Amino acid sequence: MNLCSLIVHTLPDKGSEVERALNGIPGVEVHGGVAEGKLIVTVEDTETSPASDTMMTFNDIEGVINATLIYHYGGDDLNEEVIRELN
Amino acid sequence: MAETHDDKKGISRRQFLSTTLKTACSVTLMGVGLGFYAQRANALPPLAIRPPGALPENDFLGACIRCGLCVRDCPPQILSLGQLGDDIPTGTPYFIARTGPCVMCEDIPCVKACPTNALDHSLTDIEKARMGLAVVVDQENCIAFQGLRCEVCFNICPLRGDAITLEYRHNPRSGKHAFFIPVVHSDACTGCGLCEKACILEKAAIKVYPIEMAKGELGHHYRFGWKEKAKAGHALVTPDVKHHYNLPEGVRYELQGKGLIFENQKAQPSSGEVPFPSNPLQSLNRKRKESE
Amino acid sequence: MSLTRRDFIKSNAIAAAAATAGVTLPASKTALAGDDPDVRWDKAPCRFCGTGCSVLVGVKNGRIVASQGDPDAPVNKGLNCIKGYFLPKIMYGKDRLTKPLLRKKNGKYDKNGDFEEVSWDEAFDIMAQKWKESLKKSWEENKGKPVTKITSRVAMFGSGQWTVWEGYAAAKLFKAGFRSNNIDPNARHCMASAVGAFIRGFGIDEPMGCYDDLEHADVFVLWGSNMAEMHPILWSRLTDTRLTKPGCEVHVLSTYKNRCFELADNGMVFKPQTDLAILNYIANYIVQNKAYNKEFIEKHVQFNKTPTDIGYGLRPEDPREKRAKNRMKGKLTKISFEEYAKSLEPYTLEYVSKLSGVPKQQLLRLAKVYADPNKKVSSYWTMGFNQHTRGVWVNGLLYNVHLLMGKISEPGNSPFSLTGQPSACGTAREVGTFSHRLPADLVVKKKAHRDIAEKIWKLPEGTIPGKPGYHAVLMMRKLHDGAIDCYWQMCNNQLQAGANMNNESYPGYRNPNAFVVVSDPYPTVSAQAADLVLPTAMWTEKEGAYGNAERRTQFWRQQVKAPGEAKSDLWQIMEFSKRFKMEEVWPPELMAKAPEYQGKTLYEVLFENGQVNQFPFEGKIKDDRGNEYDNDESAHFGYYVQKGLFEEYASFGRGHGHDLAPFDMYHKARGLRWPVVDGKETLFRFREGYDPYVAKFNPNGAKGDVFFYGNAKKNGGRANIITAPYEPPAESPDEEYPLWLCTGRVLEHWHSGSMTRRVPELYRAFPDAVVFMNKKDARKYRLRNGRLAKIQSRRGEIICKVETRGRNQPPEGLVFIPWFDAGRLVNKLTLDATDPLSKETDYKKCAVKITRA
Repeated sequence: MNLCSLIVHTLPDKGSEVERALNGIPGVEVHGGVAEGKLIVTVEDTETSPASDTMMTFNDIEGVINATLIYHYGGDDLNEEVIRELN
Repeated sequence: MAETHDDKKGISRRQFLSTTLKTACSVTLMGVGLGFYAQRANALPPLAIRPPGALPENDFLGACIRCGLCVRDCPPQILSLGQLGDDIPTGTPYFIARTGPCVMCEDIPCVKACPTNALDHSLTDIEKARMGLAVVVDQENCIAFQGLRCEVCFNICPLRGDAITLEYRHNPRSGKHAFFIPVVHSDACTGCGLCEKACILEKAAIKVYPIEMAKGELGHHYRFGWKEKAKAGHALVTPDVKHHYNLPEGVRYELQGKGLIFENQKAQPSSGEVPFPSNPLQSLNRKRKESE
Repeated sequence: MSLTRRDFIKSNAIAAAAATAGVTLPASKTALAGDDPDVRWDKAPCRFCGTGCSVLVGVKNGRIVASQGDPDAPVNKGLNCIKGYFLPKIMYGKDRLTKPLLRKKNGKYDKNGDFEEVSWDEAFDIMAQKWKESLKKSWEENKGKPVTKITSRVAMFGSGQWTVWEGYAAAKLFKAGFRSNNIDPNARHCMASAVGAFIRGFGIDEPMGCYDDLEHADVFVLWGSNMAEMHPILWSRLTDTRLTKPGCEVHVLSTYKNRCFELADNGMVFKPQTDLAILNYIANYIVQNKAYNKEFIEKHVQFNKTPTDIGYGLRPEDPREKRAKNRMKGKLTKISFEEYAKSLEPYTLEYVSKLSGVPKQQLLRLAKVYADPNKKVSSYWTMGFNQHTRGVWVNGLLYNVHLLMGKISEPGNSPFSLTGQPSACGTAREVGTFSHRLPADLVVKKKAHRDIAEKIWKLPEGTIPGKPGYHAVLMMRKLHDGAIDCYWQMCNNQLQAGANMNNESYPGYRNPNAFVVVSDPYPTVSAQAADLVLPTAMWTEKEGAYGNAERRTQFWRQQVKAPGEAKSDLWQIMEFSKRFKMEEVWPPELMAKAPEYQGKTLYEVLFENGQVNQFPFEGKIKDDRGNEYDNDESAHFGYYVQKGLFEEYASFGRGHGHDLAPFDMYHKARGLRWPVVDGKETLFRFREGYDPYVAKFNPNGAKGDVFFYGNAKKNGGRANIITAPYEPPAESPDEEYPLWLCTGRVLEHWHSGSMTRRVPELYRAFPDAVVFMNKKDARKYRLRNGRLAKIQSRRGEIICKVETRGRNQPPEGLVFIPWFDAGRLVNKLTLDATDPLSKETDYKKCAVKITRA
């Protein structure tokens, strides 16, 4: 299971369009940054497409200047209840 | 010629002594002083503000005779004298805005008390004082920048409306509230520090800096302190003569200690964190005896 | 809290990206990241003003460790003022009371003893003993009297900060249990004049508009309200409208320049009391220019006059009262429009400008915006209007202006009375904890109303006394005079808050015959003068409900346990009622009507009546996310106390224009604005389409038409325009006392400061009260900024620092001192003059002198 976060730089004024396009892709979620032209995006593996493949498609979206990977998590058991050691 | 020779000899001798002393000092610092320094780094805020009317730092240091009279005459007792080991030249007056800001007395008693004009006597209007400059340094944590209604710095500013104004902005996040953003104006800010003291954050988002520091002369400022030490060649001053002071009854003065000490001074109402003793019975039973 | 590892990692991922990009995201997106997954979040309304902001409270290990503005709350959208920012800290002052404290000497209660810790049992023992002695005396005094003449020697002073059920339980205990109408809330000091004007004008309490007016008005007018500091979040909304709406104007009227003037397009400083004349001038302007809405006044308005020269609510022997021709009178007489117009004629621009000191062009500009049919005007007021010896009049004079123009009951056109307390509306007014009221606008004076209450409460006819009890100020006088034996102050700080402290309240509290009980979380000024102090749970240490200024009822669950042995007001009220057998509180003739109550306790009759105790309690309160919460009262009494009390209370108002939603709804919603009919909230009252009651009362009315159904029976659903003249205040400056004194609040502190002064940051932000004054006055009286001054009135003196550069800029001849400071009690100076109609004290006007201290 992979979970990544990225910053997707967009052309000015294209933020919301790109946001809409990204949100339409399975496993992708935009969390903000439209106004700044820097979308905060998470990508997860889906059944049909691993996160890495999904990310590659971002550059085809109109208005996207660049996508930068910030955070990557690869591991199992993402659905287990959170544990105390996290503190 | 003999003089020159002596001088040369003297210089080299001084240099030698100086080096030895420095070494000795370093060792001392290593052995004893480090813990002390480490502790002080926490205890003493790095930003000390000079009293109103202080000449430019260099001139001030030359003019100030470390007499402590300004400290004595400060009505709210916010001024302190630099201590041995401080970053502030020993014996010179300063205040820390976060704990004790200048309340801007209209008659400026500290300036009047200064015997040497280190605090410039031509300053008669306290609003013309330029002790430092307030800067909203942390816009991420200042709650006004998030749209919360605070404005404590603006409200408390003695030149409210001139030194600090509020800029109203639409809050696009909520869609129906406004931001009330504090803006400091250097042409009116006296640097009194009331805003920094009043800032309700754990660490103040608005801070008063000495003007030269606010204008990007941070390193400059700190060099003055170390220069003083370097000039002296060591961290200790020569033992002083015993000083005598004209002091009213009940007041002591410690030149190398706390400065002025008021015996039997009643606890200032604002000196505690909150104005109540922590045992409620103390409030309940004390007050009654006073009022009955 | 159910969290998966995915949630946690994801929010870390988001936080990392956001930090790198320098983008700020809403709190909920990243809350989990740097935060502790063991923190349980739940909502609660703010503890302070009447705005009713919602906050999220974060609890870990039984302690509130974090808070945030509730981003989903419609009132504040995640914002707070600094008091709200520090909410969790008010609960953790170092000197919280944790044990009952009784004055004792040699192990026994003694009025002159020192406070010692006692058990709750001992505390209630002595209380019950004192109460029973007093109730016996009351029986003697009431022998042979009809129910309409019954008086009592026990009294309670309650609060607009009580939760809804606390106020309800207290009112029930006193009015039905002890048969004493001597229960009044501190809202008497705050909202009584507004209530009086609502009832006289509209026959039903509380504003017709809501906060949405703030986005819909074109013009805002502030009358004696420093909204910028006292309702910070609403002011933020008003400011935003001013910034973003083309043509929006802000007019501000006050007796001194305050923070609102910074935004004002037309800021007016008027001489105290002349607001009466200014309002009459505006009405006169509208009438003279025939700008009034003819159709509206013909259909929806009735014109009236009210008796004049009504005194100042002082003690009857005061010469000012003896001189008054119509002391305390307020009965309305119907008049014609022409008579009304004639009554306004003296109020010309010239006369009013001279009287008020406001330049003519400014008054004219104000009159014009009211008279412009195309401008939506919202007027806001608070204590400047309410704390006024002509408070009901001045409230009414503003309604007159709005009614003449028909600018009412629609978005943006709103005369809106703001409240100062979190539940002045929800508890004090809606529940009816006043000495003359019962729930849902019922009054004790009317037999039909008492019948309704007695029926719901399952009491024999004639239980509730028909004579209004002592109001707040009268309580102080009666305590002083020895007519009250037992006085229970709960959830307020009356000794600091009441006017003329030296001559009325303090001697009252210390009257050797009186037994004074104070319930409070902290050792307040009142507690210091009390005989028994009860440690009290506060805010989220109990389950609660508040009703804000826009009729919004908001609930919260108990989040943490109270410290030590502190108990909630509700627990105290209900537990105390267990100490009384019915035959100890009701005389034999009343017991004869209810033989089934023989041998029962007050608690059983009032609270185990099959209604209050009808909802079982399962040991924990659960929310829809699976979190569990304590409910200490329900655990103690064995049923869901709050729900039972709320549902019984709500039965008073449902179907009568005061409809509250079912209990459980409020734990889910971010507050609901009543009347809630068929699950739908009401934003604007009295207008068809917005208010379902209009069609009910006026089935043949046109679409969108208004109908003031509060007056349906009285005059066919018309609002009352009530003419009233300018009359001078009770005390004005003279040679000896040449300055006006006005008192009030500051943003940083709330009321008497008993909570906010225990938050170090707020204390640091505004440590001690200062006297705000004009620079010229300071020079005249040889004072300097920052130095101490002595302020004296005919009643007392205090010393505080002079502030000539502060946020409040009084004109020459007026000083302003905030009342939050227990160390500088400004109510030693104030006069206990009240509005003779609303009995609300005028804290804004008395005469003082000032000298160097």
